[in-house]
Amino acid sequence: MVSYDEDNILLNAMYIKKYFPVKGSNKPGSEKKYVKAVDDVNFAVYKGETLGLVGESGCGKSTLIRTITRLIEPTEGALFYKNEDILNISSSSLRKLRKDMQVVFQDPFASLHPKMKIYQILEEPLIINKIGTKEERKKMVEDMIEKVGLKKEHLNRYPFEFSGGQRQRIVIARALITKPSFVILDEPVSALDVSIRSQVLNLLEELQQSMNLTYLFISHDLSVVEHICSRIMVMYLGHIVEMGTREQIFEHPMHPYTKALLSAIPRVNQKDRQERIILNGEIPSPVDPPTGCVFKTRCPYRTSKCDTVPENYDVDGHFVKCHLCEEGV
Amino acid sequence: MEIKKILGNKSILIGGGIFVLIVVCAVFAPLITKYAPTEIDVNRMLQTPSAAHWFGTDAYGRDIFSRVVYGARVSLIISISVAAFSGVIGCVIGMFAGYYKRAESIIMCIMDGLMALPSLLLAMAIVAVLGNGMFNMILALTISNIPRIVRTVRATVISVKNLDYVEAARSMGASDARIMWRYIFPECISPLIVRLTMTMAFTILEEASLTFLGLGLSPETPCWGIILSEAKKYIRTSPYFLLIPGAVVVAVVYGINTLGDGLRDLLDPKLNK
Repeated sequence: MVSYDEDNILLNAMYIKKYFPVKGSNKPGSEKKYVKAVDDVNFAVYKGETLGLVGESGCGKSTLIRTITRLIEPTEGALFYKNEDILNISSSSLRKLRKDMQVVFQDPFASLHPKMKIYQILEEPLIINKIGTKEERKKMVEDMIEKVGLKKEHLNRYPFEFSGGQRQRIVIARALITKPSFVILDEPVSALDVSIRSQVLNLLEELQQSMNLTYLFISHDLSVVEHICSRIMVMYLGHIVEMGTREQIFEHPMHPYTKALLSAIPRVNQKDRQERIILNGEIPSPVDPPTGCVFKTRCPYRTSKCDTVPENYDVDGHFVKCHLCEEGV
Repeated sequence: MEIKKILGNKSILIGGGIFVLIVVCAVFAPLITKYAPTEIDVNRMLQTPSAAHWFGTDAYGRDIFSRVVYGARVSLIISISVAAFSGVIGCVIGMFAGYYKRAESIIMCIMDGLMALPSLLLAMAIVAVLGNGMFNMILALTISNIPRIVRTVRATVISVKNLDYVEAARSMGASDARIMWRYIFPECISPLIVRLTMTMAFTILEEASLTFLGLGLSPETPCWGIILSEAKKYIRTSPYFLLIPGAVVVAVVYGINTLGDGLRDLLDPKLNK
C-alpha cells in the first residue's frame, strides 16, 4: 500500500495562488481587480497513490493543474517535485521535468493533432525529449500502443478514424511513452460514453500497477472518483475545502459543501440514499469572493463566525476548512 | 502510392495540366512561335485570326500569339515570385503576430496601416519611389500583398494556438519553434494556399494595371497586362484582340485556383480518403 510518510511525498504544493488580472480594471481611477482562480492551496501527492480532485465547473481545478505543470506561472506559492523547487529551475530542467510529469487532457477529440498519424503523435514526446534512436523509438511506440489495448496496424491511421474511447487510449499512450512517474488526468473520462468509461478506468488502473504511476485525478463525477481514488480533495471557489482518504470523505464528510456534493450522487439502492441537500444560489464570482469563509453564501449552517476565514482543521489527517469543525461537530 | 493519389485528384490534374502547359509554352517560347513578339509590320495591322497568325495581329502588326506566349514568361515570373515572397514573408510575420501577444499589437498596427491604403496605390507609390523595372514591380506588389497574408495566417494561428493538442505539446516539453512548425503551421497551409492562388491571379491583373498607368514595364515588353490594356482601345472594331488574350489569362487564373484547391485537399487527411 501507499505510505503517507513525509519522505514519500512526490509533489508538494504550498500556498499556491493564481490571480488573473481582470481586463480593463487597470485603468486609472478604477480599483485593480483579480480573478482569484486558485487561492492558498496546500496539498501533497504521495508516490503511488491516486489523489482525486473534485469540484464543480469553474472552481479552479484546471487552473490548479496548469499551475502545477507550469503551463502557467502561479502568482505566489512554492512547488516541490521530488524535493526540487520547480518554480525556480532552468528551462532545460523544466523540460526534463515535463518528461516525468505528464498530462492527459479531457477532450480526446481536441488533444490529438488532426494532421499527424498515430505513429507520429506517439513518437513526438520521444523526439522532443531526445529519447532513443529511430529504431528504438519505433519499438517503444509499438510496445506502448499494445499496452493501451490498440493494435500496431492502428499506428498508420489518423486520429479522425478512431472513436472517443480509442482516442483517449492514444492520449494515454502519448502521456505514458516517456515513462513518467506522475500523471495528471484532467477529467479523462468525462468526454466518453458511460459504456466506455469503465474500460478506460480499468486500463488506467492496470497501467498504474504495471508502470508504478502516481495519479492526480481531476473529475466532477464523484462515482468515478470513489471508484479510482485513494485520497480526495474537494475544491470550492479556488480553495481546497476538505481533504481526506476515500473512506473519510465518503463515509464521514465534514464540510457542508462535501455533504451537499455527496448527496447529489445518484444511488440505486433505496437504503443508500441520503437526504438530498440542495444548495441555494450560484457559485459566487471569483472576482469578488465572499469575505471570510468562501462557502458562507450558500451554506445551510451559516453562523456569525463565518465572516472570519476558517483555518484548516486537522481531524486525524482529515483536513477541513470550516468553523463547524472547531467545535468538533 | 503518392503519385497515384496526386493523379487521382481531378483538381490537381486539370489545374496542374493548365499550369504546366503555360509554363512549358513560356519556357519554349522561341520554338513554338514563328514571329518575334516585338516584330512590327505595318502591312499586317489588326488582322483577324488566321493560319499564319493564330490569335491575329495588333495595331502595330505584331503577332498576338507570339506576344501572349512570350508574355507568359513575364507574367508568370512576376506572379509566382510575388506569391512566393509575400507567402513566405507574410507567413513568418503572421505566425509571430498570432503566437506572441507582445509582437501582435506592433505588427498588426503596421499591417492595418498598410491595409488602409489601396494596394494599387501603395504599389504605385513604391514603384514611383524606386523606379520602373521588373524587380521593383515584384517588390512593390509583394509589399502590398503581405498584409492580407499576415491577416489570414494570424487568424488561423489564433484559432489553433489554444487548442488542447497545442497545449499537450507544450506540456510534453516542446519548444515554441517546434510548436509553431509542427503543430500550428500545418493548419495554416490550406488557408494560405487559397490566399496565394488568389494572390497570383490578382497579381497578373495588378501588374496589368500598373503597366497600364505607365508605372510598370516598358510598353514594348510582351506581357499580359500590356497586351490587354492596348487591346482595350480596339474592343469595338477588333474584339478578338482583347478576347483571346483575355481568355488565356482567365484559363491560367482558373488553372492556378483549381491547382490550389487540389493541393489543399491533398494535404487534408480527412478529404484524402
